[in-house]
Amino acid sequence: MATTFDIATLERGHSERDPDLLIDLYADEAEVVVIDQNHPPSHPLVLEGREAISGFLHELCDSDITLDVGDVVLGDDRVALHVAWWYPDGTQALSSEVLELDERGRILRETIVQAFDRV
Amino acid sequence: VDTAVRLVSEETAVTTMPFDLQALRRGHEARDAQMLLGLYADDAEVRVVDQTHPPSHPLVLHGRDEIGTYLQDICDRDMVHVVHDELVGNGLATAHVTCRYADGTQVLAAETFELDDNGRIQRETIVQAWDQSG
Repeated sequence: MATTFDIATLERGHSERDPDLLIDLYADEAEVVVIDQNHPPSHPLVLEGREAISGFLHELCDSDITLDVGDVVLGDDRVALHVAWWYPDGTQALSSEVLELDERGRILRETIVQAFDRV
Repeated sequence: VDTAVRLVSEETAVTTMPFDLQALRRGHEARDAQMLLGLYADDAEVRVVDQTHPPSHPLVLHGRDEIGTYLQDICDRDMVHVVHDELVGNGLATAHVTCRYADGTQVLAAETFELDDNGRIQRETIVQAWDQSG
């Protein structure tokens, strides 16, 4: 199975902070697992399905931040990347993400490990 | 079409996979700091981002001596390391490393490696989070 993942849309969705672009990348039954200091490995934040994920993406994109996608590694059925977040006051966050894809190249499962300046 | 894509994929794999994923996996499983250190270029840099080293003030390790000390500290801890979600391509490699202490608390490190022409790690970015013990 070769990658058909739409990395350009992922990059544009982040740079334009467009949750509607981003949500289209997910399968209906997608799951997003977020791990950070507030959601440690044993108790991650788990979002199941497009509705929950859409709410998460809207919250992200409604923030006054600049999002930069980088360090993209495309595999046959997975993609890894970094997302750097920049707030107007200069504080930052860094997310390291692995996207597991279905046979149509949509995100079936996403694991986000992140750290941020703001507590 | 699938075959053509597969060939391109294999060609890419051959030219961009000198990185020794086996050594990364075995080095972690055996908690062998020397095996892991062998994956790094002499002038490698490691940047660690977590709750005590936030993105604006990451822990930055320069060169094999500092990196070796860091790896030794990790490998000396009484925990089980599991490498998963490995991916190689485009001069980059990524892996997740889950470390589990005897009391069940865990650390998850998402590691991204920028590779030199010899497949050695030139620059590594680690984003990690852990369970609070107790």
